[in-house]
Amino acid sequence: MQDWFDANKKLILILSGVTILVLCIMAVLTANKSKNVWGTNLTNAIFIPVQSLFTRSTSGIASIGENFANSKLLTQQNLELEKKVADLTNKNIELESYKVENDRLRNLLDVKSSTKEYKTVAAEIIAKDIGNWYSIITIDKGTDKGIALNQPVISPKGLVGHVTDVGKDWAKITTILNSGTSVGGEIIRTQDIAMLEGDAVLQSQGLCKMTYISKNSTAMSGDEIKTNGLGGIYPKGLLIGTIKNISTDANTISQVAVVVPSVDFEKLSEVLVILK
Amino acid sequence: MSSAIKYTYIVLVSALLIILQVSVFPHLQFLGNIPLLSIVIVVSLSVSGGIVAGSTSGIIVGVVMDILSSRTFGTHTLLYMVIGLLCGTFCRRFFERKKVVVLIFTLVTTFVVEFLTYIFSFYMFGNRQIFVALWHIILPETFYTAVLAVPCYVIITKEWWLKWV
Repeated sequence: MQDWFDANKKLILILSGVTILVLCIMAVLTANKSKNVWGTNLTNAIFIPVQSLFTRSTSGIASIGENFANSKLLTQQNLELEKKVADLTNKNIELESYKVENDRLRNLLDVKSSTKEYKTVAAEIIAKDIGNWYSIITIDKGTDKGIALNQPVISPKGLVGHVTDVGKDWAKITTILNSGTSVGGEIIRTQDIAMLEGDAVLQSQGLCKMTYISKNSTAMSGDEIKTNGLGGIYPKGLLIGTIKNISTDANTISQVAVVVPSVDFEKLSEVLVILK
Repeated sequence: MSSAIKYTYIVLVSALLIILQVSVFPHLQFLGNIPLLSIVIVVSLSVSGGIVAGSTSGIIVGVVMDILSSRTFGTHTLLYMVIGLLCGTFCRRFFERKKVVVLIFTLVTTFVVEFLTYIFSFYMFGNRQIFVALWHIILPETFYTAVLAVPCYVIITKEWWLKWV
């Protein structure tokens, strides 16, 4: 051991220096984050253009394979059809939601519409987290466009996530797939309220789970879920996804469902941030 | 081959492997997982170049991964530096069957890195699905990375294709 230290004295000294430097950078970036805005802005000012350039070039490489498989016409038709399906699905969800609400409120006089007009900002995704554990995306708009922490983010197909970090011209979105994320959800058909949670394991399959569903609920596979407006971040009525399967939780008296998000996070390239 | 061409070749191939990890392998997932080719780069250079090459490549690849990652800067740099240092130290004793050494070190380091990630990022924050995480993420990812380790090592260290240029 002593020989090893003697033989690599210079290298160990350099590596110790690197370790101390990296630890200092980590400390500046993580400790008292709200007061170290300059540190976060400085690193992101350097890293985000690199990330952006890398994502744009690599997405170009990834699309080469797709272009081989599909002709240009088919791709265009597919995009149009996808857009149409997304529009119709949203309309269908909205109508179904209206129907249930209408039945419930039929005999009441003061009926209030639950739909609202949201002011949104469109943003392009410039980077996605690498690896298998996290689902965080970076967009190209920030505080200069009115984006702030905890603003909900959607796509034409449904809920994407919320803003967890923001700078002048960038923002980081933690998606609903990310472990530790919770969204108040409501099963549209049965009106059961439950909690939608990201899961480290399901995330790798593009899924999330819904917990605390009442044991008496008649929810079943295929039921659609929307946000219930509780929690203060997500407004009511945003489409989340559909139930894939549902089972009784072994540890509690409630049911747990695996949910397929309506948004395809693999193909997501643009999002809308709802300004509060 | 001059050392300038050799280093240029290693940098280009390493960059290509990282681009593949980020852009192509998300479309070629194995049980929902992508391989960590970045670890293979560090292990390969440690086995072929020794302790200095290992720790240097660990720092460089780690910084690149930190830049591309959304997490706090530094975690990949420190982890990959330690991997390079350890692999470079232990691999000095192996002069033959380096492909087997690369395979074993890739298996071990990928498993340890991903297991530590789970423990410090999820288990300590209340996620108690350790066996589910092992079965669905850590083991498939380790296996997938190990399968690609030897071909990547051959590409990184044996400049066979340059004969045709």
